[in-house]
Amino acid sequence: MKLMLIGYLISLLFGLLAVVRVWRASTLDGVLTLLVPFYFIVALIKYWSDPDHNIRLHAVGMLVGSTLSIYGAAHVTKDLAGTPEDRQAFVQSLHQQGVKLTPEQERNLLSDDPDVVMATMAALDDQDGGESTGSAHAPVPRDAEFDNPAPVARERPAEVISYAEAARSAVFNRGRYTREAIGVTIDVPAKFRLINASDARRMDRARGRPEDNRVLGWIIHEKLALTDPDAWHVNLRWLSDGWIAATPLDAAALLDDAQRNRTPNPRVVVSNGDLLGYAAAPQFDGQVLDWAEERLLVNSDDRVVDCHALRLGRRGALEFSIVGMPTGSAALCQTTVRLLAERAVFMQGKEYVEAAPGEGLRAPYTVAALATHAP
Amino acid sequence: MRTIGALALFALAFGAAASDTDEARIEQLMNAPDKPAAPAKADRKADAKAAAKNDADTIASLVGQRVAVETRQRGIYIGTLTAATRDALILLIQLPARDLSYSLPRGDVAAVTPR
Repeated sequence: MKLMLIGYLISLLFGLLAVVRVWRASTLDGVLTLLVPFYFIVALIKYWSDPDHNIRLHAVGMLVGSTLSIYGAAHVTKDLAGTPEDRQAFVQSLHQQGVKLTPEQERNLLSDDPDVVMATMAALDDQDGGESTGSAHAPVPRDAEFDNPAPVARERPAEVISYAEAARSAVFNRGRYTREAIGVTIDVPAKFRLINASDARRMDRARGRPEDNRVLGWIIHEKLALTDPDAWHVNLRWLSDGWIAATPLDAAALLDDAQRNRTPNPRVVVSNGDLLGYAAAPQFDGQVLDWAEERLLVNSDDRVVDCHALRLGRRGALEFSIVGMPTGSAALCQTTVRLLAERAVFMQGKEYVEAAPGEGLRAPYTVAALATHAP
Repeated sequence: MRTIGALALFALAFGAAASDTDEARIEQLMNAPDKPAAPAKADRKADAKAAAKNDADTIASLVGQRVAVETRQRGIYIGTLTAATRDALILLIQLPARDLSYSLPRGDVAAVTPR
């Protein structure tokens, strides 16, 4: 291997010197000697008797270098096969890895003939391929882990970034936010910023929360830092279940129903806690349904407020929710979601209608069920 | 036609004004986030009526009963009234895992009705 490299370097050195010498005589010949294979023979003959530009010595040098290189390449197999000590160590390492060798394979690997050694190594490689290469050799038993490798996808860790990193990479949007697919435009108030669904999901993942496929984004007040995990934000979601029927809302009856319901099925985001009461009773003005729930957190004496405002459309509802606000901030919470819901406008033909539309999906729940989380 | 135009303009102006009011209120609340919102002026009349309606004797007579308590901020809570003092009403609210004694400041209460 070394001999091959040395020969190649000698040949290269003399070749470059020859190019320089010919270049001095004629630029064209120099360029042709450099670029055209074996053109140096033309230059050798052309300048044979020119004492300043002949390249006889250089040609000899290149010949010697090439010869050395070819000789080295011819013996590279021997180098690869290594010394007898190397081969002994190799056989030992195969035994340690659990590879079972036949006596003939072991004898061949320790042979002094490099061709035999290389042929045996190639045969072992084929055996390693086993069934896929269709080798005639009997499969060599290997350890169980190798035979049953875990899927690559499982071994690869999921993308985990910190909350601060996720917050720093989020893009803040101002002004009008339009979702053509839903047919809605939200005029985000001047003091608020919106981050889109992918950023919002990244934030949720960073918090270790399950992925919410209904999320459209988060809306946050400019005075709050997204990097602060305690800062509140408005969850913007799209409930794509279809047109939702309106029903009369009797606050006391709704609360009764909600508290008696032991298997709640919330369609909106809620805190993990028991419903104490409505901090703001559900009301529906024909377009926007809003209410606030006071909850006692599970395994805790802490009380929080969840505020919801839903702008209803013909094909579903656009949800604005803040969850886990301190009870003292109920007014801020409710005013914010209500303001945002009023800033959302459905495009013509996609706005909410009182009577069930003739075509299109119809939600399997009513406005009242949204507030009571009835199944 | 002019009337409709004027009405549309009025509606737009009213909507914008209401929206601006909400934004201003949010700013005000952001500066004092943990303080409950001051009741609106219109509520004060309602409070006076509610106070007259739910005088101390009436509420005291409901102790031990299941009641619905409405607050001035549109809130509503249902539970068993366990005590009614001059400062607060105490409700026992039954939750799936436990019962909670919940105190409502008397000044926030708009109405108490038996259930």
